Amino acid sequence: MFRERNLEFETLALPLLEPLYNFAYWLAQNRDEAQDLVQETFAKALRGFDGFRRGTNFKAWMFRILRNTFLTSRTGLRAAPTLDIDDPAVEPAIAGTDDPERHLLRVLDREAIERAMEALPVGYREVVLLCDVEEMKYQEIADLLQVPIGTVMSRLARGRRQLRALLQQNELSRKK
Amino acid sequence: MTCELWRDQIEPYIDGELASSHDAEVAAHLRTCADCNAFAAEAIHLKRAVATAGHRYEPSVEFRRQIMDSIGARASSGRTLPWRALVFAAMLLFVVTLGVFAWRNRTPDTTREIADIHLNALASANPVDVVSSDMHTVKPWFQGRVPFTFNLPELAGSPYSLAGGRVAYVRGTPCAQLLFQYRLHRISMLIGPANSLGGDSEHSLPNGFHLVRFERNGYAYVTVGDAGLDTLKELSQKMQSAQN
Repeated sequence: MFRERNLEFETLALPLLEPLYNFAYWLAQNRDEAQDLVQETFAKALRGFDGFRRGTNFKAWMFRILRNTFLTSRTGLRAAPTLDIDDPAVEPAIAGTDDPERHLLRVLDREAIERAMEALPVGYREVVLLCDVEEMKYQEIADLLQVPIGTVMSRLARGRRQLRALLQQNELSRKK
Repeated sequence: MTCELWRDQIEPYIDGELASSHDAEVAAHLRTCADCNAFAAEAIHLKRAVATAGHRYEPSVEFRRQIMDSIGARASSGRTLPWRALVFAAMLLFVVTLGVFAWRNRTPDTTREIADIHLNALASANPVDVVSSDMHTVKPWFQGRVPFTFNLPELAGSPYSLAGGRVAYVRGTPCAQLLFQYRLHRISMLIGPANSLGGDSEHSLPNGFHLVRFERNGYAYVTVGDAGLDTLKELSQKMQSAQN
């Protein structure tokens, strides 16, 4: 019985190792911390696997455990003020945001995107990653972050706007 | 509605999160507003770039083993007897060989070749030789390049748009390859002599790609892509109507 349960967990969880590790690294920005987060996520998930409702979204469940683990980690606690940035008034001003849409992003090399994503506040970075990299639906992301779907939409919109601004800023500083 | 308000809808539209009624409204606005269209093109560009750059970090082999050990996974660190592994490998090889045979028998060579042509276009930095969404530019471009002509459907008001075209060779015969955009999907349509572009009227490949084919006046029109089968059929139907 115990063996069967472990086997089922293994079958479901192992294919998620890569995406979970990638997400953890993007959150923590550090290899050792990413490894600790993933290790802890797998341990917690295995312990709590009996509580997982079969037929519901296992991937979202694992990502939620990872994210909650991150929130209580050192880096997560440091990043806490930027995690729930839902007040547009606190959106940091970035030079060159006057009208980013007018400037088509011509140079979108991988490195520039990576730099801009690193500079994005964690609260925005995570929704952009979950939507564009993990291809989760808005509702899945809302369940995962335990926020209303409208919050997911506004974080995504603001996150992408900032990403554009950061890319544009990098582009401008490169030209100087 | 001002463009400012449309902008809020464009990203959810690209993410495929709008209700279908809204979807059509946004699509209609994008066709009439150059500014919003440019914004949408940029948003798609950014989404794709993030999707690519976002897959950045990979766990090491050692760390993977560590995780497998921690959850007591079967295949972790040499606890399995080597002969078992060998038997398993031999069985796997047998199954894979059988699978390959079954797949080869199921999928005619031309169908595979057409799917490969589409994949090549997707992988290429310059997937088309004539870049235009204007049918009156794309159609004449093929004159003198392929020994036949065809009509292009009116796509305004539909979720499809023409991205361009190029000449592709199937079994040594020149064919016209049109590239269409449907949301984030790219769809190819190959047009050429029916005997060069053989195949079933519908075919699904194990890698998630579908092909839809029809014949008209000795020429075959094969639509291929990873958008749903119904989507491909709809585009194929539009093309078919345009040939009447």
